[in-house]
Amino acid sequence: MSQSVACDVLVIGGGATGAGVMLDLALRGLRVVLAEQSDLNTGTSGRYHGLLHSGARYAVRDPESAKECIDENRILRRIAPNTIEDTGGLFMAVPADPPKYVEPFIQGCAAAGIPAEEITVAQALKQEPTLNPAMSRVFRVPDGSCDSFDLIHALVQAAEQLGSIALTYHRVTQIDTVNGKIAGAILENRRTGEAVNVIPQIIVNAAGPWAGEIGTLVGLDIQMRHSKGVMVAMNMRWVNTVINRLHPPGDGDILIPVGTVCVIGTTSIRVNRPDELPITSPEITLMLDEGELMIPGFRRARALRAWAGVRPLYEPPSKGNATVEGRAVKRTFSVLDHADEGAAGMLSIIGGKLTTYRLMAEKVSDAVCKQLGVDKSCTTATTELPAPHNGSRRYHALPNRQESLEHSPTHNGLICECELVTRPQLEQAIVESGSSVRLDDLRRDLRLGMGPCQAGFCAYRAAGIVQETCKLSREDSIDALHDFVDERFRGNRPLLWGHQLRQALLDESIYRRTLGLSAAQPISEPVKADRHG
Amino acid sequence: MDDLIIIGAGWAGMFAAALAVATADTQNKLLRIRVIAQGIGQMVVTPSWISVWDSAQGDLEHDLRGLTVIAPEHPYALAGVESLVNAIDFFEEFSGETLGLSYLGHAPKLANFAIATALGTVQHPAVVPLGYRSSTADALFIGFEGWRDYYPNLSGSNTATIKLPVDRAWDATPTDLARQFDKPEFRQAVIDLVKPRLNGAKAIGFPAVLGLDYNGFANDYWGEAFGVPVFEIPTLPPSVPGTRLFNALRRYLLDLGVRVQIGHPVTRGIIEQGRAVGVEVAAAGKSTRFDAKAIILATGGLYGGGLFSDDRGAIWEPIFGLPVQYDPDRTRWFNENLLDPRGHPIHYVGVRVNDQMQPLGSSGSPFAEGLYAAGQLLAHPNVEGAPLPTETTEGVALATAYKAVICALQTLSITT
Repeated sequence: MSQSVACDVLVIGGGATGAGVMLDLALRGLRVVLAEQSDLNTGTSGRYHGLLHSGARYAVRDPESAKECIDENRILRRIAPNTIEDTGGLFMAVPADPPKYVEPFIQGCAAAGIPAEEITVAQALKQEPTLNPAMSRVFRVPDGSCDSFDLIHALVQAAEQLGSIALTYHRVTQIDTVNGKIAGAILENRRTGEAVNVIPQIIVNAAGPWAGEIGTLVGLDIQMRHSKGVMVAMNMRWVNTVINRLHPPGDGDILIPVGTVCVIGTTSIRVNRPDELPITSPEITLMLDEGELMIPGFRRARALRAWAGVRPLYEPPSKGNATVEGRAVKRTFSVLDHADEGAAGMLSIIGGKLTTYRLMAEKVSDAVCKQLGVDKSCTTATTELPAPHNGSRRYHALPNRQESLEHSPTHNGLICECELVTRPQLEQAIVESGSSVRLDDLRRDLRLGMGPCQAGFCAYRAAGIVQETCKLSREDSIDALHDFVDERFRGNRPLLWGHQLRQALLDESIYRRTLGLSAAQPISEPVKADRHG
Repeated sequence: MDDLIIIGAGWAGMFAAALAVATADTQNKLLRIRVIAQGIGQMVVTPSWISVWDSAQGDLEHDLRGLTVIAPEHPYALAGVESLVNAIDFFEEFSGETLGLSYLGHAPKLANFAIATALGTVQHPAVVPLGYRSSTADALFIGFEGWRDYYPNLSGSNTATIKLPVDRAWDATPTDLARQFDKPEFRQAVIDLVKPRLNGAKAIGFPAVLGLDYNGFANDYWGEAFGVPVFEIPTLPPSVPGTRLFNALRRYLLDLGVRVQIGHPVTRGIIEQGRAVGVEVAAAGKSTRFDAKAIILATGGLYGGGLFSDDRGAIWEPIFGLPVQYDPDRTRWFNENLLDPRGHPIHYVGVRVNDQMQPLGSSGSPFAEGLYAAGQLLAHPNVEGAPLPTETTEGVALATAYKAVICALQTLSITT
């Protein structure tokens, strides 16, 4: 039995852009349904490095993006302070960087309105003592770090308070048109298999790297360029400031402090599909080599996680020009109206960056309102996002967990010592997830098994607690344990050298020898989108 | 100057030291032995049983003789099957009579046991601490309320959970609980809690925490208390049976005058004129040099810290810079799944030795005189029909340590 939902606008995609459009339109009085094929923040936004750009990175080559970034940076600091850590940023020139880049950089920043103040090497080292003392010039810019998980949840929460709804695990399977105008869409609930009919006046395609796939549902040919970027999280916060190299944007030249770790990124490699996310060992070694240039000894920290995201780049069709690739493709965005292509009422918002999500949402929402004849202007630049209620939203930050544990009136056992997950938290998450819970769901809810030991200890404990809470059979519990151990290992496998390799051998010894968790079983699901950092 | 320096305090290092000092002792010779290690070895994270060749069935000695034919480079083949047999004979007698920790083997013929795990599966080591037993269908599995490290329902269907008479049980490590079981009144309280729950069970399984110093299996304390056999089930690390063994070995070595320096990493081995003559040890302020007539390197493999690796795919032995046999493409080090039944190529990595346990230089001849290697540091040949390195861990440690000690003592003019 299928259900029908009427709304003004259907937004496709639960990343920063889609959530931003949802809130923008909701604030203008429209009723929005957001459809996300997976969980919120599991595509490009959830796989992003965490950098709130000042725009300085684009100051020389892409002045338009630079200007957008600094403007949005200032706005986000006002409207979403709870999701941002004001780390500040430095651009440092190491001996490998071309001195002739400095002047255009200064001029580009000035032109875009980015405050870039030169400081001495001594000042830079006082602020960040681990930096390469051989650096020659350093500039201070207003970079920051931003938690996309918190941001997107705040956007969706605010929009839902205004009567809009987000449907997660709902994939758009069909878009109907009548006389060259969109008439409705069918969503498939991926958990129940049920179909949902949505009858909107307008559809906004904010599916990021999947925008091309959505376009094909109505016969559109949206030329996407999928550019894969690899990031590596190191298990220590080498710096408290975002560090950039003072050179043309390249691979492995941004280092962002995020929570208890720091993330180095990225690469830019063209891939054919939005879910093509292989991580190769040369890419990781490249990140570490580049890290060494910024921080001598960088690779001595443990690499905890490596992941890849796909940038949904879009180069508008141009005539006669050579094809532009990778880093040369501008990081600005485009709003496409498909009225002339037989899909009136459908708009796509493509390209851009997490830092400029709000501006992207504003532009496409303006176009939506124009088509609907709604005479309301955008208010997102002045509407502060809801603060996390009773701290739970900041729950993913380790210091907050420690704080709440230390002040908790009742003590209880730590099940995951790396990420400070307690037994009551685990039991609550199990109950909320229902009896079909997988240990990997608990990982995403609680960060269980995401610390340095990579579930060596907590996987068995969690399996035991799930068994006790859900009264699972022994066999099902052991299967679940086996799946989880395999799943954790897949994420860890590209990073096995040094201490992390020793850890894997210990984990293997625990599960293969001590616990006798016997021979391998078929892999159940493809790689899942993740929350990182 | 020492007679013998042993680097490493795991199965190979501690066993080598015990064998060397016991051998000298029986000949009324005084041997200056020093054990130097960065930390305590792998025995405190493993169940502390001895795996010789877990998947072999029947007479192990027979299979091992076959192995020496198909894999002459295997550590068992290089050390000789008799080294393994003699090492296990020595260990069984020594662990019981000298350490007071009886280990059980299938004397006179080596064969594998079937030991119950916490997941209700079965493992097949050849020599086991007395507390380990195979499970029976009628066993009752005891859990401790709120304790995070053992879940009886994953072991079997007949379970009972008791509330231990101790504060903060949820926060206790296995070793913490084992110290509680050293107290007679605590043991009695647990017996009183479990007895009413027996309900006809034919055996009782506990997580392996039933005493750290106190061994209630050697004197059948537990069997007498319950009237049915009691057994221990290996837990998550730290391993209480492994800690019992490590502590007993350490006490024994100290009593016999062996210097045991744990927490002092050896930073460099010293070779002069083709002979290993000593080591440098990191200490506060400056490094200290210790000289010896013979050195046994028992620092472990990649897990134990005897081998290092990096993101570029290099693997090296940091103390003497011994050649290591490995594949420089690290994408091939591990198979897809952690628990792949074939194990992983990385397990075969190590230092090659000759049949005197002397590490080989790149030319294939001994790297240095007076230098021997044993244990997980050694390379395994990846040969069809040979055991996985993970199913021979302790057996290889004992056999190669035994052979290394014999060869080292010969250079000191002590024969065994």
